[in-house]
Amino acid sequence: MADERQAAPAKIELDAVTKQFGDATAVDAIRLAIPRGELCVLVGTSGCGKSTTLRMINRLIEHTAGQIRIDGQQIRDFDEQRLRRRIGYAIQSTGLFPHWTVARNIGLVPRLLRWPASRIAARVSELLALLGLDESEFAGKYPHQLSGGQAQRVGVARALAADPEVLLMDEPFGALDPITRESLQDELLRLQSRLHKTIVFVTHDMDEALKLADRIVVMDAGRIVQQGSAEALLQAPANAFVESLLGGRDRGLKHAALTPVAERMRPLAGGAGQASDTLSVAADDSLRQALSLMLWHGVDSLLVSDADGQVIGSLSLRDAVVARGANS
Amino acid sequence: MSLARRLSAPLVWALLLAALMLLMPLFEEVFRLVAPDTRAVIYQRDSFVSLVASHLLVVGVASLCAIVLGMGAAILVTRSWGRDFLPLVSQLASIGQTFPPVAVLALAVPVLGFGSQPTIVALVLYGLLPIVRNTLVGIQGIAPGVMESARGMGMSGRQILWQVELPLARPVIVAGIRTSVTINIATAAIGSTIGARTLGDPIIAGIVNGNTAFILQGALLIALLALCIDSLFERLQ
Repeated sequence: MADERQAAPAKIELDAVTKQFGDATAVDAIRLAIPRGELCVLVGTSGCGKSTTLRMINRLIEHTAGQIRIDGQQIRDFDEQRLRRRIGYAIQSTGLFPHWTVARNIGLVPRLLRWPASRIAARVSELLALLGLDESEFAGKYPHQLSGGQAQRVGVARALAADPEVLLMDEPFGALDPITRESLQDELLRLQSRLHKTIVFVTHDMDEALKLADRIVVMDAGRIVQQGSAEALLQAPANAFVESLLGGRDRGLKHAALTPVAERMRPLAGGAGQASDTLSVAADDSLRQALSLMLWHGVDSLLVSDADGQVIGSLSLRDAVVARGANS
Repeated sequence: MSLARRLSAPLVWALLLAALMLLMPLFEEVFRLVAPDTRAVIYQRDSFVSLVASHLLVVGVASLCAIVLGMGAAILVTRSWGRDFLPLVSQLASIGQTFPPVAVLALAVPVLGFGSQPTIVALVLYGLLPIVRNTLVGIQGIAPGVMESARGMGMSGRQILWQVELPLARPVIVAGIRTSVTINIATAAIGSTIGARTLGDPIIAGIVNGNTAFILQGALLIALLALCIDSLFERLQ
C-alpha cells in the first residue's frame, strides 16, 4: 500500500488531525489519505465529527493539531481565501445568494479570481449545460424561483465553476425528496466519471454512501471506525456500530443493490429477441431491483436485456441469491 | 412601475408643502378662524422657506451623523473581531432613545452653547437606535448558509460586507433610517427652545403669545415635511 502512495501521492492527507472546541474533542487524531480522483464519503451519525472534518479542509474551521495537506502542501501555508477559491464547496442549504441571478451565482468564484467577463460567461453556459439546466430558462432566474433540486444543481455548478481539483460536499442532497435525491446522485456519478475530481462528501445516509463512494469512511465520536470500499464494509463490518449503520439485517439487500444483474446472469446462447415482457431487467440494473421484481410477480426467473432492449441472458432466483462458484 | 408613478406620492406631498410654504399669507382668513383676537395671523418673523430649509439642514446633518455612526457601530460589532462589543452597542443605542431629547438639550447647552449644535447632538442620539437596531437585525437575519458559502467560496470580509451583507440587509436598514429621520423631523422642533432655527419657531412663538394660528402653521409644515420625506423613503425601500 505504501508503494502505491508513493507512485501517486494522495491529493488530500489528514495526518493526526485533531479539533477541540474548548474541552470537547470533536475530531480525534484522525488519519486519512484520499488519492486524486477518488470520491470519499464520510458517514456517521450527527455529531460524529464528519462535517467538522470536511470544514477543516477548507479552513472554515481551523484544526487544533496535526497536519492537513493538499498536494503535499500544508493548508496552513496558503492564504485562506486563495485556498478556498481552489476548492469547490457545496452545502445542504445551497447557500445561493438570494439577490443574485443563477448565472451570477455560478460565476462567483471565477469573478473572485478576476477572470475576464467573456470567459466567465462562457464557463457559466458550459456549467448550466453540464448540470442539465437550460440556459435561456435558468440563467436569469433568482434562487427563490428554483425547486430544491434545481437550486442544488446550481449549487454544484457554482462549486465547480473555477474547475477546482477538490470538491467538498456537506450533505448536499440531504434536504431533497427521495426521487430528486436519487437523480442528483446519479448525476454526480455521471459528472464524476467525466471530471475525476477529488471529492469529499459528507452524509449520514449509509445508502447514499454505498451508492456514491469509492471509499467509505465511517466516523464515530470523532474517530475513524472503519474505511474501505462499499463491498469491503458490507463483507466485514468492523464492529456493531458499522453493522447497525449498514442496516443490520438489511445488509443482504444493500449488498444486492450494489451488484449489477450482469454479474450473475446466464448469457443466452442464441435466439435473442426483443424483450417485450415486463418480466425483464436491464443488465445494469441491480440485483436488488431484480429480486424485487421476482417477489412482486411471484416468479423465480427473469429475462435480462441490454440497453437496446435485446434479450441477452436470464437470471434465476438461485443465480441472484448464490454467487456462482461460491456454492454448489 | 414607471418613475412618474413611483414618485407620485412624494410629489403630491412636496407640492402641498411648497404651496403652504410660499403662499401662507393667502390662507390668512382660514387661520383667522382659529385665532380671531390676534393682530398678526400669519407668522412674519422669518420666511417659512428659510425655516423649512434650516429645519431640513438640522435634521439632515443629524441624520447623516446617526447613519454613519449607527451603521458603522452595527457593522463593527457584527465582524468576528468586534463581536464582544455587541451587547454594549445595543444597550447604548437603547439608552440613547430612552433619554428624552429635552433632557439631552438641557445637558448639551452648557457644553455646546445655544443654537443648532446641541439640537443636532440630541437628534443624533435620539435617531441612533432604529438605525443600529435595524442594521443589526438586517445583517444577523441573513441565512447562515449564505454566509457560510460566501466564506467557503473564498470571499474576503470586505467582499462579503459589500456584496452580500449590505445588499441583503438593505431593506431593513432603509426602514430603520426612515423611522429615524421621520422621528427627527418632528423632534427637531424642540430645538427652537434653545435657539436653533427650525419650524418649531412659530410653534414656540404661538405658545408664548397665545396665538393658535402660529402653532398651527408650524405644525402643518412639520407634518407635511415628515410625510414628504417618509413617502420618499417608502419608494426607496
